[in-house]
Amino acid sequence: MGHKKGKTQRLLILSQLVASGSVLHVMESYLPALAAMPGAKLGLANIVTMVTLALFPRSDAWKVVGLRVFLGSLLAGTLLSPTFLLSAAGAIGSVSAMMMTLSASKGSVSVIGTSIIGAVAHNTAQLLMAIFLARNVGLLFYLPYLLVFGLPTGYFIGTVSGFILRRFFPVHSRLESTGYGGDRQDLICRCRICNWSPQLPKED
Amino acid sequence: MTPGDKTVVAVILIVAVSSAGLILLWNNHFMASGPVEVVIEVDGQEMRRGSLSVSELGEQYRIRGVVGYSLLEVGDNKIRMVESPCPDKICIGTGWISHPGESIICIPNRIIVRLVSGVDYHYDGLSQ
Repeated sequence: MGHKKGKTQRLLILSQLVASGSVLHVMESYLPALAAMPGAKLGLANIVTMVTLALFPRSDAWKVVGLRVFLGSLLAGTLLSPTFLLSAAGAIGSVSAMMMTLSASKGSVSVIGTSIIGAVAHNTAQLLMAIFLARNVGLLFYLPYLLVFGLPTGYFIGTVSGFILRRFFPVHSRLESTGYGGDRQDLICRCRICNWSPQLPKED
Repeated sequence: MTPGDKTVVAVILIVAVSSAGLILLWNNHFMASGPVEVVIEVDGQEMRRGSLSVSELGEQYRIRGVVGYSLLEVGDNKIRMVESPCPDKICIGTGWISHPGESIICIPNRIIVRLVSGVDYHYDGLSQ
């Protein structure tokens, strides 16, 4: 939210995001794994990462993701197991990639493209960690499948994140002017994350 | 989806396809030069296992099957059945085999000759 909002509100929203992320993390661990493609997951917790990145500065995103992985693993009973290391690697990879996308694209890539990149980076980082843990370069054969699988899941996660952002956080901290429009020469503001733009008052 | 999103999707698809191609190429090269092991099973029991590339040219193995003795011959990184007591001689008809995954099977004499890659890939439960 905006920097003028109170510290308490910011703390509340961040806590809410951590809680939602942890629950999604646990829920995801209960979903049946695809037998044909081990490691391919929906990445539900990435919704929270995406929303956090869109609303808060980078340091807050790292806090939310770190706490989410820790609490989620604690609740799912996988703390400090190989599964935990895989989630951590995936989370670090996806957050870094999404941050880079947001700052490099300067608004040309929307929330959908960003979360596709997040999903692909998540899968790639996880695969690298699996290769490290299993000491087996042969796992690299999964890379093309995981890359392609990241497209539909990233699209889904991006759509959901965009919906949440538009629906629940209409006042954005990252509103950017995109130019002047129409006869009124009004400054059109558009959120560069979810493409939301405030309703302009109609002229009589 | 914005044009930027479409670029993202296109780049990822290109990376995926090219990495698949590279892996296939590397895999073929690897398989061609990697060690190939011969596994000989009689009546479901593994009797012998050895490297195909180390075996000498023209070396012959006499394998005792259920019906009688079969004779295997090793060539230049390949192996074939030359004599078999079975009536149909399908195993002899198979000819030379040289790639991992190929096999010579003699049902009447219960002999299976399989070629496996000398390098093991472990796909295990870690990828949960």
